[in-house]
Amino acid sequence: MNIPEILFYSFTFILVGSAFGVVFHRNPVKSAMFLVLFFVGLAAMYALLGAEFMATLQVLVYVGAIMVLFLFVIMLITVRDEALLNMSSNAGRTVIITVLVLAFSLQFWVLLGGFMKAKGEHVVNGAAPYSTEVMNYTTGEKLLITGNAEVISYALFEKYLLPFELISLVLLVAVLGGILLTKHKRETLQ
Amino acid sequence: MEIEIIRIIFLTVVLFSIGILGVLTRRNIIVMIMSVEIMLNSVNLLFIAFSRYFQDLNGEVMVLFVMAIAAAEAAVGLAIVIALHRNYHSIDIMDIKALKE
Amino acid sequence: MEKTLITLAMWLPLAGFVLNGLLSLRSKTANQSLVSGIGIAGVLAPFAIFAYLTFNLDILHLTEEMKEFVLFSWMNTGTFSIDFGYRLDGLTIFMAWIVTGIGFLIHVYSIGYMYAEKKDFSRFFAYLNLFIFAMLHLVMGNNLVILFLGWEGVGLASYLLIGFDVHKDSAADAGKKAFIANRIGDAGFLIGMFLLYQVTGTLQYSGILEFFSVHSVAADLLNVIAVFLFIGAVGKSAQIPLYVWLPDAMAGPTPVSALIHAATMVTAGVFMIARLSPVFLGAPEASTMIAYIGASTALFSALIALTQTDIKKVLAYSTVSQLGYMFMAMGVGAYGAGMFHLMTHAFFKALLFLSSGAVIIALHHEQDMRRMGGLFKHLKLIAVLFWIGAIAISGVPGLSGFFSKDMILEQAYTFKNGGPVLFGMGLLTALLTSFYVFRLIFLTFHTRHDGVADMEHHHDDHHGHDDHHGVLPVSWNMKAPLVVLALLSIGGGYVGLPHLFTHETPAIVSYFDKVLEYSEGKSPSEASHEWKNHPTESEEQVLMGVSILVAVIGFLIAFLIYQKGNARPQPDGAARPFYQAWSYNKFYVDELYEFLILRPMKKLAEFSYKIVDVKIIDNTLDAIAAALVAIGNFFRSFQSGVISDYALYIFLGMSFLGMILIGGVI
Repeated sequence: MNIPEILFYSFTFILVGSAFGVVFHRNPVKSAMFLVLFFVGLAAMYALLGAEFMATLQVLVYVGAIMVLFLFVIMLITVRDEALLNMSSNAGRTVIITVLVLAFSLQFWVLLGGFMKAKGEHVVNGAAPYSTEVMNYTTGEKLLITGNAEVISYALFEKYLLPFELISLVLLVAVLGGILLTKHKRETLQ
Repeated sequence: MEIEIIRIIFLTVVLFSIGILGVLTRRNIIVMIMSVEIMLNSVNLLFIAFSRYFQDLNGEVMVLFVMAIAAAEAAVGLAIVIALHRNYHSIDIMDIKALKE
Repeated sequence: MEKTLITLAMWLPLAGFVLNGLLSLRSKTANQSLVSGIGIAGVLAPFAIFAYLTFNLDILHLTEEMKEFVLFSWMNTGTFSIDFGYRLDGLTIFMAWIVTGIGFLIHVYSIGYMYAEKKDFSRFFAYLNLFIFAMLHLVMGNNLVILFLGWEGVGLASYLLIGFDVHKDSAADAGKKAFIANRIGDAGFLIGMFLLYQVTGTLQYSGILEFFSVHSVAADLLNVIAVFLFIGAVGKSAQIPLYVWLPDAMAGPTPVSALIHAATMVTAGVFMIARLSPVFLGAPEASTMIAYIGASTALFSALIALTQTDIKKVLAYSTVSQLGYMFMAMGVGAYGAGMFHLMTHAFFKALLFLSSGAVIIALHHEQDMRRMGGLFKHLKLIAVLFWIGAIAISGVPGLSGFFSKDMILEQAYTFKNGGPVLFGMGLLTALLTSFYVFRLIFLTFHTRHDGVADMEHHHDDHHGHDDHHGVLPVSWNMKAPLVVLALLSIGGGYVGLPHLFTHETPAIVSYFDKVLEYSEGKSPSEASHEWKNHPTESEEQVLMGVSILVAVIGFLIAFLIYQKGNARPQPDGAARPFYQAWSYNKFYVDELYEFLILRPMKKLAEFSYKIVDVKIIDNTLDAIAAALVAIGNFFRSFQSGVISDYALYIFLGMSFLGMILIGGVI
């Protein structure tokens, strides 16, 4: 067992454990903490796979922005623990859904396992970098660039420029929507 | 730095299923949204893994977009939670059955 | 010119119907002279036109092209096409004379008869004109489809007029009975029509006649066709076994009984046989059957007529009986004799009906002969006219009935397939006819009893306005048609002076032989030549003597029993000897039909209602509805309003899709 595999299994353990923590912990604040752990573990996994840029973004966006939002909301609505304790489904429903979900994941396993029959051949090499040939528009000369962030940013601003701008629009709409939904209307509270 | 892709797929399936489990069994809306985040992230992991496997960066760009959408979704979803809590004084989905009418 | 006139003659009655119909809608009491003017114009105009045509055209020598008047192409579906057109030949003009002539007289009579019915006056005349319209189409059409149109049209008019008194249940029931009995016949008639079309490929008379003059068709096939066509005639012309509607049809006003149910509509079957003479003359077995059914009907209904106490019922059964005579004549191939009797019967039976109608009106709608008697001194003219009609129908020499009846009896006697049997039945019928019609006269006009006195008290008590001791006077417009009909009843027979007197073929027979001439120039007499023996002159003398004898015997029996013996029919409930009871109760035929047909039908209907409808159909529908409710409730349970439930459904759907995907991969 080499080092990458050891790292992979330990990250896997963290991910699965924290995911279970998120889903099954009664206290939403603790769930949120587990979610932070999940996101960090995922960022580490990205890095292990050689996607450093995405790992950085994962930490920045999820842990730095989204998780803060979650915690804010949880604090904002101040749900007391006693109320939370009652807030789980009945056991029978949980069991049935668990069985269904197991069957579902088995399905995936069949679907994707068939695709990856030969073991050992299909590996992800975390060390192999992307490389792409780009043109300097001012000088006209072509140059080869390597490195995760650079290559992705070239792709983003050339090939995916329109979707990128549209995404920013989506985010703007989401911001406006969030404001509109949470705006305190006095008259509705009567 | 080589990892068999089949294991990553297995991991993402497990994580996705856990996310589904959370959405379907929990009654707390905030936890349900968190479970949705887990599902989204498990898919992201799959994107990255295949992107790296095929040495094709399109997958990573897709992850970027997914992150942006997830952020938007979280913002709107949580805003809805606040609005719901204001009207129902509860975030238990069993108390919110307006869909039935 | 002729085409315009004929079209006018055919459609003016409809105009009369529409105008009077509108008047009956507009006002409760329309101007009676206007209404009767329209009504009479609607029948007098066609009469005048047909008279004009008769005297200006050489009817017997028209070419085939000159006989046909096509108005327009009615139906045209590729190989099958029907023109809407009329046919003018000796047969149709003969019938048109009877329909419009007698129709005119009865219209005039109706003004007086219906005068008291202020409210329904215009409706009555509208229906009468509708009847004339339909009957003319039945007669004049140039193909079987128009004949059928008229056939159904007269059925409708008959239904409307039988049930004219809409407030009386019995009248409405009688109308329905007539309609249903006719439907049975019509089904047979339609089948006959279809078969005929199958054979000849056309429904146009000219085409059919031409076909039979060129081709010879197997007698078996023609027998079948003839039987089906005859079933239609059985329904319309009230023969055994469908005659039951005609006596009930007397619920209609008396002029209707005279016009539709004695003189014209019921003879449509006879006309139809004459019209399709090639079919029937080519079908000897079917013709024999027709002859026997006619003879049986004549005898059977004469037996029933013996004991009836309702003056109109007697005449109704008499009509059925006389129609039987006509069919007997048609069956033995004596088409001229049958048509001759059709004409004379139209005269004297219309006379008898209208006279009885005058009696009924005079007695405030009393129809029961047991409450009449001694009316001679109140209604002298009516009584004399009634006598004329009675003498005519009973076959006393010199009047029309004698000639036609004697001709039929003679022709029946010569028929090879049991002629003497037919003759015997006809002779017995003649005896009975003579008896019941004189019984009717003695009971009504001559025997003295207290019936009228009863009525006097009755009406004096209740109305107090009666003069003439309770017997109303009969107006001139009722008397005038009666006088005309009486003259016709006396003189109408002289167109058919028997062979014995003139030593020539009777004029009317040679007329119809010429008119109905068909295949290879054969006339009906020639075509049916081999069906008959040929009597010697002495035989003819004996036959005539016998038929005169039975008429006189019938008269004498009636005279002895009812005039000398002063017998009166018993009240309804009284005990009768069994032979009288059977006759009085119409041989229980209605009860038999009730038992054989109506009762099982009612059972079936009840079964359909109580078992099939209520139990099976209703329960099935209820079960379906309940199942739908249950399914709805089941699916409603999914709509819990809980978000995670909806998420679960999405998840399950996704799993399902995944399974399909696996199925595709593996």
